[in-house]
Amino acid sequence: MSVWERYWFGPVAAVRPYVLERVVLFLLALDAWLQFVPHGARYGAGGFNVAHFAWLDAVQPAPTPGLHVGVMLIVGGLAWVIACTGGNLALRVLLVVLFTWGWAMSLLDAYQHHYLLSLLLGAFVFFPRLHAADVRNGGARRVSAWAFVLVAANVAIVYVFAAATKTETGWASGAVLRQVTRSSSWFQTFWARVLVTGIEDDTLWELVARTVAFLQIVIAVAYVAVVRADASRARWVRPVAAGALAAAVGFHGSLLLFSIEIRWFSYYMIALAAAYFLPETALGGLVGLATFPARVMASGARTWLRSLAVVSGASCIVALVGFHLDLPGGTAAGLLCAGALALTGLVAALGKNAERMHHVAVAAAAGALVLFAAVHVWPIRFQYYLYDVADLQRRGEPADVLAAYEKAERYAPPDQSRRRQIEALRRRLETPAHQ
Amino acid sequence: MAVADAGGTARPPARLRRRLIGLGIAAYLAWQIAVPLRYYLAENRRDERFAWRIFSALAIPPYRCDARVREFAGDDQVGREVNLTRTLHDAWIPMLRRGQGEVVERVLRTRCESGSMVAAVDFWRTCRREDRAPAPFRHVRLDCRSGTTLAQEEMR
Repeated sequence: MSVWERYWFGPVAAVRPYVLERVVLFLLALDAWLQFVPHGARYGAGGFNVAHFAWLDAVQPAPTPGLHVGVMLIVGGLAWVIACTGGNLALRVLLVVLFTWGWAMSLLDAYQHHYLLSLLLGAFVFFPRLHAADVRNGGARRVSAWAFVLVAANVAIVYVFAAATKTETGWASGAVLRQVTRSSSWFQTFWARVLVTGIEDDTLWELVARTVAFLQIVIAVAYVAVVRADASRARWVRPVAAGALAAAVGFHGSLLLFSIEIRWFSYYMIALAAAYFLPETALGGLVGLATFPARVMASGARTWLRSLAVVSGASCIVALVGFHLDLPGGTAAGLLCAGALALTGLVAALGKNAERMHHVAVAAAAGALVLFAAVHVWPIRFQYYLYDVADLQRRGEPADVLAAYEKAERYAPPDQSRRRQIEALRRRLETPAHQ
Repeated sequence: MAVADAGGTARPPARLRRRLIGLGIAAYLAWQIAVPLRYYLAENRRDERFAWRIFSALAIPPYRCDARVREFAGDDQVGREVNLTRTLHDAWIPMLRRGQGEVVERVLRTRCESGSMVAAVDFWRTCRREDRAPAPFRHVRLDCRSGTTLAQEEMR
């Protein structure tokens, strides 16, 4: 093989692509349910929308809250099932298409990391199909995984451009950082203490800004160089990987401390850094720990009748959870997923794939139950209807505002009741002027 | 896709397949470099969606901007201010304030289509810095009948 081919097709520790794929997919499932869904009410509001691409505007139906929420619920479900079972080619392709459509359907979602996630999901289609058993016990196996190496190159490109933009005056002078950290009281206190040492404010800001750019270059270089570390015996590899991991966790972790609207970008980037830079043995240990419950559940004999019962039960759970969500698109998404699960499950149970379908059905039911738990633990529905209220207060009728408020109130956390606003609105609507 | 051998090491694909994948990788990387580069080499740097800026100079600019839309009927020279907060979802207004081209154009076209009396629609984006240094100004006019757009952009 040529140098070019050795770089892309040479062996990497199997545990790395496995961890990268599974962790990103679990994150995506929760991200879709916890972050995308609450913002769904704004889609198609006022009959106005602009898609990311003109051709998409021409072919897609006008986005609605039901469509967006439904798509993102399915995306979360698909990501969950593939994360648990590995899925198959069709499921992986479907996930890329649906997720990409989910953000590309409207400029309302302009997070750059959603585009990056689409690229990652696209790469996952070409990842080697690995199971936990293949990578446990210290991850002794090696695989040729060009798509995994390509993701590293892609992420390096992202960091290089991100660092290049930081040579612009706005960043290099520290002005952007000042603005980002301005509203953080703990940081202001910390900064004041640092300035006591006698360093000039402007100099320190400039130094921090330039350090961030430098760290991004270090991370980029590490992604390209360390990706083949498992096959290399060079001494420099381990310190570079450790340095890059520390830089990535430090940079992205620190962003979590400030009120910057970047959603879960930091979590994804930290997960990526962990998959590429953590020692192979540490990743193998993590896989062993995380897959323990699944290994216990996987024991026991499978008959086609038992698999059929599991698939039927899982389909019912998925449909019921969709209905229970009380969100636009929830029932449709639940029925669609339950129908697809029941149909493929029936075909598989009667054929040779009963075992595999059993796993998919259990994963789908578990995913639906996690979603069920998530909407009760986190105020997803409260946020959804409250965002709707905010829009209707400006553009809608008072009766619509009241209806959305009452929906939100059903799911309000104990300390965030909107009872007072609801009563005030009811009284306003009952006055003669509104009769 | 890799194929596992008995020793626990997956073999790389066959030679022809490697070549094809290699070509695909080269094309993909070229695309990944070209798309952000196109943004950085362009004069208009408003669309930073695929530029990997991470910290946006547009989202965190050193000035504040206002966006206004006014529509005109026939020979009417004064026009009527469009109440953007009543017309659009709140989430679109910051994009107008940033002067995002596609959104501005769609808002103007939507206003043109809102009534047969609307002959032209104007958009203004006016930015101001605290230190009163020059800041971006943009005016776009869409003639609803001919569909032609006139744009003026400068630092004021």
